[in-house]
Amino acid sequence: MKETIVSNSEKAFVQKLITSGHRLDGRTYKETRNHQISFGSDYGSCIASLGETKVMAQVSCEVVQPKQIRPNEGILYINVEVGPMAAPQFEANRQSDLTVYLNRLLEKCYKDSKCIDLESLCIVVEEKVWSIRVDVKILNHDGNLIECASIATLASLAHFKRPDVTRAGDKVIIHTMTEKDPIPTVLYHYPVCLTFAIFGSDILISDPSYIEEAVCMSVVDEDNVGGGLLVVGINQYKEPCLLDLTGAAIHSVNIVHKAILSASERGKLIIDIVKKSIISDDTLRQKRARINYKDIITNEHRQSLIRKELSIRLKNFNTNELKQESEEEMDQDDDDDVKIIEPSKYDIVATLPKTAEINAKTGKSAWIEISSDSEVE
Amino acid sequence: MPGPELLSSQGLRLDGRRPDELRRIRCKLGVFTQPDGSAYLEQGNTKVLAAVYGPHQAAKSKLSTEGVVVNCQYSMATFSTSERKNRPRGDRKSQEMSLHLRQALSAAIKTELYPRSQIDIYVEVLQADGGAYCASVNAATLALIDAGVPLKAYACACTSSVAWRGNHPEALLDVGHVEEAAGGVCLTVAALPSVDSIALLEMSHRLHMDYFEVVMSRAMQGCKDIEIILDKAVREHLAEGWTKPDVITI
Repeated sequence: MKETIVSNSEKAFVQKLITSGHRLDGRTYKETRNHQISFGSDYGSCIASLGETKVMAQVSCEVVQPKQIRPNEGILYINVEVGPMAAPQFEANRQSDLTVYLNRLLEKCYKDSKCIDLESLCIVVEEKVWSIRVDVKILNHDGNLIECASIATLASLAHFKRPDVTRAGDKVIIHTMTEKDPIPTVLYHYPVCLTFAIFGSDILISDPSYIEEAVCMSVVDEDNVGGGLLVVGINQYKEPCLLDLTGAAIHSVNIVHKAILSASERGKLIIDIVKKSIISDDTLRQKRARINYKDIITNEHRQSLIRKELSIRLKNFNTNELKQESEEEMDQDDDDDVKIIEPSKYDIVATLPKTAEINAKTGKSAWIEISSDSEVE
Repeated sequence: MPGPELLSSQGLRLDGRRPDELRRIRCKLGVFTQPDGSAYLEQGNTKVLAAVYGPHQAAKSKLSTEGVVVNCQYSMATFSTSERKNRPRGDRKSQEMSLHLRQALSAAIKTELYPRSQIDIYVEVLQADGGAYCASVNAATLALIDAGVPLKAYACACTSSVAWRGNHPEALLDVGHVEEAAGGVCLTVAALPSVDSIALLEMSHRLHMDYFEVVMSRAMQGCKDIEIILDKAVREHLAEGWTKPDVITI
């Protein structure tokens, strides 16, 4: 199936909206969607979700012969699969551009930055080493795959424990999990990839959603308005391990600096979340609680919409100003002084999470004045 | 830093260059007769051939009404690296390089002038001594000019790295293979210097963010210098016509 084309009006609307300071789902430029990490019953198995984007990573290991040029190091192998489960435009078992892109980014972030101590994976020099393989599968594509995939990879690598090995003379004995406690992987630093969408020459958006990604990649204007996706891989010591700019050209280097600064703040938060979730998973396992994916897959409440959250959030819920607001949006006027705000007769009350109800303000009884301007809901 | 000293006490690098020096660039346009445009470029010991076909009718599956489809193929000859390369094209690294090439060149080509058409760019690396991607971008730009494809600006690419002299970071321009293999960070920038925009930015290995500015500005300066060199080469080629037999040395 071919990818759904983003229409010109959608592109124009999203661009105009973003340049005026808002985003479709009501977030600010720096806000990200909810992170959630959930581990499976095996060590090294994890699902990470970022809003509706869901990625699963599984780490496994086996004993192999090491590479000739590196006889005392283990091998790390990362494989990303994007299938039709993620989105209908992907074909099964076919390497699309996106697959190559994700694979290379994760390889650069985790292999080239040397975050795993490969020498500790050596069993017998030149004969036997552990080969760690991370299989990443994209479950649902709703924008920002790289961030979600890198969180899943990092969490699963940090969570993974390999079997203990002892040498008895010439023999090498691999102990099962019940005989000896498995050994966690040694991570020198925790790198994570963060995505920013660049609109125009100075607007930096964190955690772009599917439509924001599609629009910023296709920005082609006669005025040379640039745009693109910037991926910054950063660890908790504020060292960028990976930088990748895709899309149309950008016009100033300052935006890259801004992105790296913003990434170092956000990266630290994400790495803390990963570490905390691993610690809490450890304590749960010690209490012999059942670990499974139940929480991240099921929904707690019934919903009539397909999505849990609104994908388009209104700027504000003040009902009296509806007509004034729409006029102001058309004029793109930011004259705060001239606005005449009438006190609203209605209250917006949050009932359930992410749902609001409109209640009429109760006070002493009065005649309701219906003027020709205001709209009564 | 582990590995060989990237910067000696006199301030010279492993191949004797100063930190802000590019390798010698030699190039020739119009080396083949069959493609619409072709170029050969040497950057130090890295030798690259580029051939451009197009614009011609696009395959139905790749058709785009918005602009020309740029199709790039990056391939490294099996004899290009010190160990024989088993897969010249189709492996992940080459596919990634092809994607990056396409991105850098699509930013330079005036794509809106040729809707429903396709431009094919084939790049072959004959000898890789570091900076093969940059040499490919530069060679492809020359080949596009030779083919007569309208460009917004020259697309130039340059790498830069950082070495420490005492405690003071010094940015190295145009890293060679030995410097890359020593494990240092390598920032690749593909830019359109005359319109001051960056088409591609790529960095691997760790670099502390305080030093990023130094490395980035050195790479941008390198791109500007390369643009001057390429521009001179093009003008000389046009002035002499294609009858001049010698390779242009700059």
